[in-house]
Amino acid sequence: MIVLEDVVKTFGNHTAVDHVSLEIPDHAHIAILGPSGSGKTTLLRLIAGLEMPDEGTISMNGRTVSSPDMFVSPSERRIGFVFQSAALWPHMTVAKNILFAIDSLLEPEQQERLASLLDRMGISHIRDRFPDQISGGEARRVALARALAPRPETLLFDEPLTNLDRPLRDDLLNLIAESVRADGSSMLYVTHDEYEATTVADTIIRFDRGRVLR
Amino acid sequence: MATPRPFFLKIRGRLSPEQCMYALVLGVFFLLITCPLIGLGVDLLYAALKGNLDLSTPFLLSSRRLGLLAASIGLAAAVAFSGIVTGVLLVSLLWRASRKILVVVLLAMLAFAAIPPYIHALTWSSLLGYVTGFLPGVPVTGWGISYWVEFMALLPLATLLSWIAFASVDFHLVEAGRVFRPDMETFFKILLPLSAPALGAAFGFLFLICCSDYSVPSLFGADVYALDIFAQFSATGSSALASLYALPLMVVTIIVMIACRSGIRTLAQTPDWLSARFGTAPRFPRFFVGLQAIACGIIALQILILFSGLILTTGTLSTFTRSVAMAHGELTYSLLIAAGVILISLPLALAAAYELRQPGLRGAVAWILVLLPLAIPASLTGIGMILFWNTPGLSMLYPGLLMPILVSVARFAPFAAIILFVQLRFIDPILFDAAAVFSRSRLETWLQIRFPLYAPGLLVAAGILAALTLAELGATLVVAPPGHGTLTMRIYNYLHYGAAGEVAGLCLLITILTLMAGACTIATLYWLYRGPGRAPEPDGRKSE
Repeated sequence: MIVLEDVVKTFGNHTAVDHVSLEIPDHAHIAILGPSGSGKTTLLRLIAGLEMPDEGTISMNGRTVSSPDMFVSPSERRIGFVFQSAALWPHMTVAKNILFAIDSLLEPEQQERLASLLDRMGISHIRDRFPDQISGGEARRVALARALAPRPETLLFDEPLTNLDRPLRDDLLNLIAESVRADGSSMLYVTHDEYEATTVADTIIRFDRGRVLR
Repeated sequence: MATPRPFFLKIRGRLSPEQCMYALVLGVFFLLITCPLIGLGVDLLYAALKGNLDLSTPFLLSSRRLGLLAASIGLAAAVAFSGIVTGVLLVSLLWRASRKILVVVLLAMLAFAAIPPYIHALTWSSLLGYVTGFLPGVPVTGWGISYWVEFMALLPLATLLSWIAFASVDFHLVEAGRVFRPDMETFFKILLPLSAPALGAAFGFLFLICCSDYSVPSLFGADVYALDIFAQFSATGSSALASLYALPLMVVTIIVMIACRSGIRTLAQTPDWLSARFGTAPRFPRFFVGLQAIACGIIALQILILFSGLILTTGTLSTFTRSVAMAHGELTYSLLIAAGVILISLPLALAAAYELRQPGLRGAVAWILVLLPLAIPASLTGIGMILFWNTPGLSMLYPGLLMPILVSVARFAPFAAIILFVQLRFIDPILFDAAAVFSRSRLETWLQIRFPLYAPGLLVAAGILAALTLAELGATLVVAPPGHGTLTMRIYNYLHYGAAGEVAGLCLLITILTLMAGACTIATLYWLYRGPGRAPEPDGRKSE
């Protein structure tokens, strides 16, 4: 379970996250819905450990991972993150991009997990290609596979389907929903699109001006 | 059926007055920066055709010259490599710095980078003179100390270039790595490989600077190839022979430059040098933190030795004022040259910056022409300038200021072009389209739209041109007319007689002038970006 208690994050004079308290139970599939500039991405980055809160605490499974004087690095939080841009490393092939996330496993386990993910995402045919040799839709599938690879407890999605056409978006939405359910992870899905939120999540939290709207 | 238009009408139809002006200015820019090469090439050809020259000279390297070439390349490579390694360690500390601190640190590095290497030579030789009083065995001359002082002199520039190389990497890619693996692994497997081309270019850039600088090695008794070229010219008076002697070194520097070309372009195309910051501090293992601490110690030592050395060696305020009064003629001459270089270079460099943006072959040729002068040793640039301009019709150029100005334009205008190229990338072209729609005249567009948008780049380029011109020695030494000398020439001549108080006073003056140029640039930039009508940016990246 992830618990946020009275979390505040400011950038200069701008308060991106304003005294937010939130509980994300295990296996919950939650969408955070809000307009652009409302602070949703900052909230996700705070949970991932990519930003430090100015006030408040974030804990995971009873362990404080972020507070103004306590910090656990992102790689130790057992999370997966799918960025708005696929953020695939251009110097690595598709397979290496995914393997990087499970570098700590033994070689046979790595290969087995890789093969299973490539198969599930329908991207086995591009495993040896570089990111600049694949399409936008394929890149999102690789990013999803990479996020799922280490079997994270929580998957964080930061508007992962931006700039995709409707059929492709529907296809990927279904894939995300199926994959997250199959792996049993919790999910926090940030979007400004109501359709995406209702399709992928069981619970929708509305967010505006850095605050959770009740 | 349409009647074909006459040829001259086609030309008139194609080129607007603005385009004609652009082509003219561009032509003058490329002529001025390549004229030393043209002069050297024509002279070499003439001497070869007359049979006055043995063309096998560059290929028949004597063992002494071969050793000299190898040692010079080794010195430059060692300085560039250690500069980049230390720079990388230093910038790895800046990831978490706030935007304000980052701006201050990077601009301070820029100002320190402009301090001439011979000033570092003076301060370190003063320190060594003091240390040998206690430890007589410490070497005060030779390759080792030359390496150390060159390394110290180039460290701020190496740090700045390392930062730009890191900033050229999309920080989302690094953050994606941080989610999955520890920071050290992300650093070595994601950040370093992705910034490698730009770091390679930074290495090449430092290598070129070190290869063409002979001021530091000569002051510490290490004979380098660049100095030997100058010595050959002084001894034989044959420019063609000096060009042939320089050829092996130029082949090396041109190869390095071509190898780094794409990386230099990457460095210059980095979209926002200040955006590449993390929201949370990276966690590195102890050995890496230790290395970072050593790198911090080295840069602190550099700054400490620089200022304490200059102030202590100068001694008293009266020594400082006496040395300034003694050199007021050279100081005025140097400042006038710097002003002339800025006035000539900036408009020409602006046109060149546009040309650097061209895609395909045209842009590639422009990049090669802009980078080529950087591969020529300074003394050879001076010789080439004499060969190009020393014709009966142009002899009026020789007395006074024009030759030292032109030689600095030839050496440094390419830097201004690259800076303005970077500035142009920050400007959305649609702003110029909007200006074309709404403004009443071209003059109005220039004064109210274009010039204010170019201003930050012009300002930074002016500051860098001033600093580089004030520090220029190798080429000015060759072209300075009799009876005239720059401040740098005076200091360099005095330095051979040891680190006296007057010389230190002059070096302190150059350092103050350089840092003042940097401070003025920073203050004006601050005013431009925080002036009336501009909302302050939030201190952080956009949240959505």
